[in-house]
Amino acid sequence: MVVIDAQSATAPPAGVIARLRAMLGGSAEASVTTRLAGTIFIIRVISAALAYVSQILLARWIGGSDYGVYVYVWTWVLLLGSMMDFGISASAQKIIPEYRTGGEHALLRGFLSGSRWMTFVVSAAASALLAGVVKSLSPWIDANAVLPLYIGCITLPAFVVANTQDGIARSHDWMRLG
Amino acid sequence: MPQFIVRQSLIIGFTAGAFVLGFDLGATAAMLASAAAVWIAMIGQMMVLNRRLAGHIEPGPKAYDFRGWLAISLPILMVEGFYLLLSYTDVLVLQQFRSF
Repeated sequence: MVVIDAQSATAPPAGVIARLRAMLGGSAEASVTTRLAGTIFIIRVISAALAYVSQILLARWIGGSDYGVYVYVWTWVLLLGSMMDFGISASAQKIIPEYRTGGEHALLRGFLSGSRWMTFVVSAAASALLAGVVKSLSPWIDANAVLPLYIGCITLPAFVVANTQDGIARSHDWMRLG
Repeated sequence: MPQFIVRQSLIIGFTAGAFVLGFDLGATAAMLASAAAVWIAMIGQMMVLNRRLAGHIEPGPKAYDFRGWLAISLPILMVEGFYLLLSYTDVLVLQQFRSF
């Protein structure tokens, strides 16, 4: 932080394009970070716009009441799916660099496949259990929500594995994958 | 392409296709489209990721330290879990109060 501040304070005022090029084009650590952050920002903006548009379209196409059910089921998927990877997608960004710099290649290979298998097996089992819970609670659940909830259970394992893969991709700076 | 974008595009694409074809769309149809979108996006991501990882690390023996992974992950899960609960509980509770 201090270094960057000192540099920008002493650098002569250059053209905006030249400054942008220096910020985004270089291979120095700071410009790599800026580029990654820029990529993530663009991804965030696009996905926010998509989410906004899709909400309007879906609400118009499937109607108010059914859209409520759809959002309700998706909220469960987001909540449970984000927790069912045990935080592996976040800790991958600590574990993978640690194994790499330590030269522990066997453990690294083990994590790259094992983390995905583990989260898949656990989330598939948990989804089967949740489907059982939905079935046993079905007299008390809104009848229109039961079938969507079952489909939500089918969605969960893929959602969880995708989360884990997001974490693995981010640990390699492959932001466009995660 | 990141999951958020692929998923949303596929969901819009599938539901738009069903809408144009004249299907009666409901929550079930929308969830089916979502499930298909999530699975397709995940498998596509897996294929690209595996190809990239193959160029990144040579094949060899694997070792698994499940205990160590969980020791690092579970505290993170606690933090994330409470944050997620905080942001989603409103929608889940609201469902209990809706009039039919």
